[in-house]
Amino acid sequence: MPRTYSKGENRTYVLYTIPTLLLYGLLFIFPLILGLYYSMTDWNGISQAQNFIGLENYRNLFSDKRVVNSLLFSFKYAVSLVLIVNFLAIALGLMMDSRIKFQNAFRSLYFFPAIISLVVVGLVFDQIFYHVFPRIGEFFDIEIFKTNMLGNRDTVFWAVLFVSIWRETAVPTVLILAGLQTVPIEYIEAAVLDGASYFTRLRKIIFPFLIPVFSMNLVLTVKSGIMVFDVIKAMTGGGPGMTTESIGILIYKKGFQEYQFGMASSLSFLLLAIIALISFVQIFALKKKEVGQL
Amino acid sequence: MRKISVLLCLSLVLASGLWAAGTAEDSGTVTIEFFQQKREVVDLFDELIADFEAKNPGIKVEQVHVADSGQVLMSRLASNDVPDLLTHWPNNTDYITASLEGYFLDLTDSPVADNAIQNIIESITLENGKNYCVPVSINTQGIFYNKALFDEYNLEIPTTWDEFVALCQKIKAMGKLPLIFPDGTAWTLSQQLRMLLALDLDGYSLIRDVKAGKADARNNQDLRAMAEKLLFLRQFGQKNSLGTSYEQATFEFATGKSFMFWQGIWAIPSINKANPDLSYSMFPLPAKAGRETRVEYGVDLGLVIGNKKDAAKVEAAKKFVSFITSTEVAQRYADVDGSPSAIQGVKFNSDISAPLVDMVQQSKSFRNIRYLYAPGGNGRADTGTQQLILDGDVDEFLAELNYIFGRPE
Repeated sequence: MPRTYSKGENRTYVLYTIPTLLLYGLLFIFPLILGLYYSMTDWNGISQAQNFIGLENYRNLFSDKRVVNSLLFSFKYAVSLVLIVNFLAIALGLMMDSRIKFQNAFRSLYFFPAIISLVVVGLVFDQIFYHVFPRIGEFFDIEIFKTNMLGNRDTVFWAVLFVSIWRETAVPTVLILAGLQTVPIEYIEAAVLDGASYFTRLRKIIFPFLIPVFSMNLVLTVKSGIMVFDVIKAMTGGGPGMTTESIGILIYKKGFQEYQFGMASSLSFLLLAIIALISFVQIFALKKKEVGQL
Repeated sequence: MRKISVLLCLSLVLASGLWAAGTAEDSGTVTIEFFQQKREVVDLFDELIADFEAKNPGIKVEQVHVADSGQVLMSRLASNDVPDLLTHWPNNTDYITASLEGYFLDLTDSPVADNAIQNIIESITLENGKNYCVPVSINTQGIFYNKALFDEYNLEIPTTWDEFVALCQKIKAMGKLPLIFPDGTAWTLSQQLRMLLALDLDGYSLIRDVKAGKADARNNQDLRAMAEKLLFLRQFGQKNSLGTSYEQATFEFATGKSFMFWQGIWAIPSINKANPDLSYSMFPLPAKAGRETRVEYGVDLGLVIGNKKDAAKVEAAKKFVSFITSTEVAQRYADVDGSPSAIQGVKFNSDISAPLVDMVQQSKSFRNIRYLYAPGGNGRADTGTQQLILDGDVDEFLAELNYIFGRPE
């Protein structure tokens, strides 16, 4: 039974939310509406005047080869990122939850990538791909490392993905670790007494308790994957050619390089719609399976 | 008690911050932001600015150089945050579009441009008869070659395209690297594209025809041959050229890894910095058989005033422009940069680019053609040419050229 608040308290609480509401309105709602307006004009980004053209930008989106290419790239990237990061996060989380030596040191080490800015990560790995990997390739005679993987159309996708994985695994792992603490120890002990194997315990007890955290990780990693921009900009700029042009990169190029700001805005809204749809589907699908929600 | 002391401290900090901000404006120093886009001369400008500030105690110039400066500038213009003073390239459609939209101060017939060479000012004056840029230096592009290596292997400078190809084949047969391509950095590729457009074809009339809808890049045989030439040259370059950036390629040439390097003279300060002992010079890229070999020229550094409202800052910016375009300072700039000056009275002292500069001075040259591209064409030329090198798809590239030149749909 929720607690009822007095009128005075109510008013105070509402007042406290006003600054945040104002900021949210100014920094999020207002640009959103402005962006929607721009997406229906032919604005080139710097001219003083724009012409309203209705939904023409949206109609042109799907016939533009580059847009289709960027959507395919971003989806492929997102799926790969989600699968690999979540698998690693769960594996690492489980490993770090057990009592091993230097547990805290390992946890700090694995969290380290999350605190470095994405651009710095991209720039440093750019140098690593040019200087370090070729030397390793020559030394161990591994063909694929011998050239700069960022310049080769067959390997650039995996090279950039590798950097993203390196960076994005940290936070989901920490969340899984936190989630593992919510598993009541009595259930595990009872299962051990009844002779359940490790994998049975994992499947029947631990995973159900991890579903809220897992759901959140899924949303976070899908978003990271579809909106990938920083690492690509820092390492390949969308190249070579158009091979790593994600939706984010294409929006940036169209808006700031190719004088098609209106088109870029419409692409942004398409992206918004896609992510919203995926997030709703995910949360809805997993909500039914949460522990204690029956 | 604690709450009050915390509150007091915060107010003190806030007050001192405001007071400091207020003082900066009051003390009479005018500070202008100099948005400098040319990475090779950042150090040089630091020195020149120090001299200028010593001579003009009431003015401070803050040089700002960022990566991807073109896009940063564009987003700043979109939010009306124009830098007080900036450098730009008048051949670039970004400059032309921004000028026509009224973002820059009109410098037509302004006294600050008095010391520049009149012909050059005329060549960058826009279609509306106005000029918004004071040119400081010219650039050109050609083939850098390592003199020491050429002497060692008794190689001769080619004067025709066939001789150039034969030279590359000879070097390759020796097991050495003839050319190094910075294909990882996209703008170097559109630089090659625009050179061939004017050198091997009648690019100016062709682009105008495509723009008017009278010609189609997709079925133009000259453009096809040009695209194939770009691909043909890659066999004389390093493996996986798309993995090498402009900085890396410059360094590799300077340290003797390749015999030659197709690049603009703007690379000279960087090459000298990477290897001060390198003995090198340049020769012009030979035109295809049957055409005269000429070199490209374009304004390399142009000064533009972005602040149109604050009178004190405009005045300070104008003083700085006059300083840089004075014969004495322009001479210093030219000596370090190795570029021919656009300022009257400056002597050209660099022997590295002399063979090309001679040709510019004898008018055996053509203007950098990219000012004819459609708005946004620069970015598409960068990506499109890189895509050509990546997948060798000439048809796709020719279709992209239609967009770059602005063919009506």
